[in-house]
Amino acid sequence: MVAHLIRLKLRLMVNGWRRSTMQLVFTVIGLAYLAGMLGVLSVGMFALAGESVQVRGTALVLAMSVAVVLWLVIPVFVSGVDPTLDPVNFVTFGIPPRTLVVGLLLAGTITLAGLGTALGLLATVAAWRDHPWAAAAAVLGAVLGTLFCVALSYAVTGLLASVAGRRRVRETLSLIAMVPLVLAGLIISQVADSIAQLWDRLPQIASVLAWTPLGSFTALPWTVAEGRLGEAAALLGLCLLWLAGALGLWMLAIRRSVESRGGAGATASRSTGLGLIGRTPATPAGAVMARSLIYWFKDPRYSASLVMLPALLLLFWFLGQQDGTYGLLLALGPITGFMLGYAISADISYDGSAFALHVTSGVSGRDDRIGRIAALLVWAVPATLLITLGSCALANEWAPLPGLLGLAFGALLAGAAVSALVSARFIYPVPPPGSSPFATPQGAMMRIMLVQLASMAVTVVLVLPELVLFIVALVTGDPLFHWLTLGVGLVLGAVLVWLGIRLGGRWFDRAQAETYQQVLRHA
Amino acid sequence: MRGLAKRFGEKVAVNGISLDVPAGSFYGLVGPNGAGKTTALSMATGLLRPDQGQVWIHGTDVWQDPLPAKRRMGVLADGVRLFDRLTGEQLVTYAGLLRGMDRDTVAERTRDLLRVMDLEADAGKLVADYSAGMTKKVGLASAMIHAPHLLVLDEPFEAVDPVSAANIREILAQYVANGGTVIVSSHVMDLVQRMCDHVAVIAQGNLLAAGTVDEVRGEQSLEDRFVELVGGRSSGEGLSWLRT
Repeated sequence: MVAHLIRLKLRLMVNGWRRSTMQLVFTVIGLAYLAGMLGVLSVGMFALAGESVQVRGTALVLAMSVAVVLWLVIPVFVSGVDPTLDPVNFVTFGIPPRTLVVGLLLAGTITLAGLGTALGLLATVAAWRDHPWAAAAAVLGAVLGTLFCVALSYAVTGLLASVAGRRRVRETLSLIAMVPLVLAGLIISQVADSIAQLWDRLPQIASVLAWTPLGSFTALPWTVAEGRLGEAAALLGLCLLWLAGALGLWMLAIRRSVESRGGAGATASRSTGLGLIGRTPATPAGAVMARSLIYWFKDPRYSASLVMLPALLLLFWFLGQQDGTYGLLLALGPITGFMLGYAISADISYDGSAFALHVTSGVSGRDDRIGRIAALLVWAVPATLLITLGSCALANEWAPLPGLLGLAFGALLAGAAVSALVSARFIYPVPPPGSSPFATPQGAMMRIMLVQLASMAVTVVLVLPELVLFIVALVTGDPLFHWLTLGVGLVLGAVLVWLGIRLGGRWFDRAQAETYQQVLRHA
Repeated sequence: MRGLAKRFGEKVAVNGISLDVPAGSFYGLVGPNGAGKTTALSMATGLLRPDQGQVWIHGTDVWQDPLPAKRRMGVLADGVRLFDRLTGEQLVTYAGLLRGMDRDTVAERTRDLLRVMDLEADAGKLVADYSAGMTKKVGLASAMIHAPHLLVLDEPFEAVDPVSAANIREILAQYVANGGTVIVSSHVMDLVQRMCDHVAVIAQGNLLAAGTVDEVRGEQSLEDRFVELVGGRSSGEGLSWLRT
């Protein structure tokens, strides 16, 4: 049975390559990368062997901790890491859960990540080559550690997937998980300050981590090398306990997912009434606007950018505080405008095949464009205003405010105008509805880059008048030019939006069917 | 439709189909998987531009004069997502407002549609959390809200439970009795034979037979006639070991 599952995994892999050459190419690149990393790692391990036992143990425990954390976290971001062997698929075969878990565990080890972890852990044996017993313990730790990592990540994905109201939970989690990503720079710089103190305390940290699931597996050879055999035995017991725990969680997840089959959605949220759709004007454009607004708040692919903005404000303020200049912070208003205007450039791509409703309803391009732009501007204008005001307040510099506002609104409106044009005709693959905003679709990278870069470049060109005026204002310090920037930004922006709607609407009308077919192809 | 044709690269998906669907008929479009049903219906509804041929609805050319033609049509496409972050009620209302209808009419018809589709209890739930059958029904409701002259339904009964299917059939029959026209595609022959008055059989992009159900099936059941037209049925040998 177990052999069957492993053979199935291999067959799925080969078939995947047959289906798309790109996947084969990715696998080869992945393997090459893995080989390179392992080479570096092995060299490092040989070098490490010359260090004292304590340094070796500390380094290996910390490295292993990072690896385990990665195994734990990555599945949360990438929804459905390896769905090929979803336990739910095996329900009808009546395989005992125990056999299934063992089979899936071994099959999961033949993935790139599994192989990498296994080989990487085995490479640590080289670091202990002067202590034969420690080396033997390292081999044991490597095997147990790899199995633990795989089991843990399956258990986490499985449990996450089976949590009641799972769609909501997963989406919220991936949004929350994004905040530390945005703030990573801040955290790193904070940590870097105290890195000197941290350095001295690393062995201490490692010796604590050794007794947690994060570090036990590589701490095992460390204790053996130091001759603390009693502790080594205890650690081995712990390792087995962690592995058993992970497997137990996984079994629980499998049982849950099998049971909840068909019962999903029982706890789905309900709301009454029409919400926003009942409040906007009862016209096609009004309906499109309401629908887009609902998506800004309910679809994680959109709301990701809403979460991002305050986090960025905080980050730039912090960076500014560190070196005492607030140039970056002050630029945040215009950057916000630029990014928000650009945010709807993939609107139809995000609709996916649901866009069929617009095509079969005969929505005119003008209504469609107006609705989408209005939905953006109705909150993006106040947001840009607030962020620009906020950045000036945090930096305590009010003189350039009108110019910054002009630049910000100019960028927002020009971006929206370009988006109105681009999204009407240029479709590219985006994460499908319901997936994590970080899931990057495969293939067509060139097309995505080309469309995005070109539309950004056009936007920048369209904002040039405001930019020039603003620079003049900065150089001369004449407030008149700041106010001029604001005026030009608003007027030129309004004209551009009007043009974008006219022209984008015409493109939309002319090639609705072709646009829809493109969406279908990428969906 | 006249001489409707579409090819994807080397593969001819629809090979010059000409078909008259009389107003007020309940027309079934049947064919094996991959016969070109969905492609043909996509071209008829303005979702896919044909390489050749024309489609008229009540005299309006779908591709020359799309807006009036689309106003007369309600479409349920197969395998298409809905705006699933809306609740069922919001989605149907949205479809109505997109058609430019006024709010009161939309609200009244949305209520009626959700009631007959048996979706009242779940009106406030996100469509993303609907089951497959409920999703079909809410899609159907969205296609009917503007009281079109013609309903084009691609696989409307897939995954719909028998009770709802019977309700939907009744609604459609009433709609036809009041002068509406329905085109459904399906590969459930029994259903088509019971429900439709006209039927067209297509396979590999070609129209094999068309007319009233009785004309097409002759003395046989529609299913036998269909198998005869399309071919590919293996002789009744069966699996000798498949017994208990």
